[in-house]
Amino acid sequence: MNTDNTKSQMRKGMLEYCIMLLLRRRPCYANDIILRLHEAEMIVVEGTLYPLLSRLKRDGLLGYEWRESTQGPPRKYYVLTEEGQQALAQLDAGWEEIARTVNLLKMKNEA
Amino acid sequence: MKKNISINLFGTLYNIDEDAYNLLENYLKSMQRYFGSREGGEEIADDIEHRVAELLWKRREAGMTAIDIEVVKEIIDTIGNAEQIADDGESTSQATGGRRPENSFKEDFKHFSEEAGRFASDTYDRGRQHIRTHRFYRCADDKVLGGVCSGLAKYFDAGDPLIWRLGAIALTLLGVGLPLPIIYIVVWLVTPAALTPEDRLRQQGKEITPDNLAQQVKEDLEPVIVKNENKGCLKAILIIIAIFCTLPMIFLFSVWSKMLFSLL
Repeated sequence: MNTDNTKSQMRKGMLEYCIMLLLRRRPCYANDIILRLHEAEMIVVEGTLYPLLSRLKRDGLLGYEWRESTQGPPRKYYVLTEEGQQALAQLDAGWEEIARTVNLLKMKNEA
Repeated sequence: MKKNISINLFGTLYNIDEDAYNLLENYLKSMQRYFGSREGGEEIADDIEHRVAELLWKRREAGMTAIDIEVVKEIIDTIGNAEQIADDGESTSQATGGRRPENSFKEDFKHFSEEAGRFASDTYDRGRQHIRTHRFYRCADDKVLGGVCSGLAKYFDAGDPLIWRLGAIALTLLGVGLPLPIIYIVVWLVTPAALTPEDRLRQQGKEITPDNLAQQVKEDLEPVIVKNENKGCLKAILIIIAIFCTLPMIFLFSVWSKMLFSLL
């Protein structure tokens, strides 16, 4: 069995949730998000992020504002909207559930 | 010595080699083409252009004086090409099924002489290899109607598209290929056009590597314009012939359907 594929599917499924988690406390621009996701080995190529951000924005979960930068081109700072915060809370609950289920199954198998 | 161009990316000037410029421009254009048709797609392409600018800025801060093609290749590798990026759910799983068992195939040919058998199985293997590496696309930049004939010529790596076009028309006129115009339209509707340099590489059965891409980009930039200008008049003639071919088809169909109805 090719576990790499399964693992990458898992990561892909988590990506949206992780992006929203990064934006929970403060606005971020793409570079911040990319760095953090790279650290966590969540993305392979950087570009994957952009269609996702675009979709989250269209769904009304994200907004953004332009800020000038002294370090290169102007930056787009993404913020979670009110709706986004609510969706994130739901995703939190969803994640808890999945984690609990998986742990439960693991324990049952070991017992 | 290389020719050097200066470009302006969101207010910052960069010196860039000509080949690096072509690769970069084509990369950004392929993003626009790929995402442009989607909702919010132009923004995605714009975001990616910003990202390119940012990565170039960082390199300049680190002491880069001019952008050469290696830098552009690196950046493309980090950001990814349009297809890697767009991968939202529909993973393009390479079809591995449909492999014909080799034994039965060889048994079919037992009666033939050894040589003929080997020749056939060679051809078969080559055909299978061809199907695995090549993908059929319509040619968006060399077309009379939908680019199906030029797509076929490219796919089979055989001859001038003109020969395929004339062949198709001749078959239709001779009556052998009466359903051809319908098949043509179906193929036109069903198959994608080769838009990105990646598509064109797959069409020719080449692997998608940064080097091949750079090569393809160079090829894309040069001959097409010249070709199209020369063939403009020929295209007009072919279109007229094609219309003359389809008109009798429509007429025939109306006759057939009337006959069918009268039978019912």
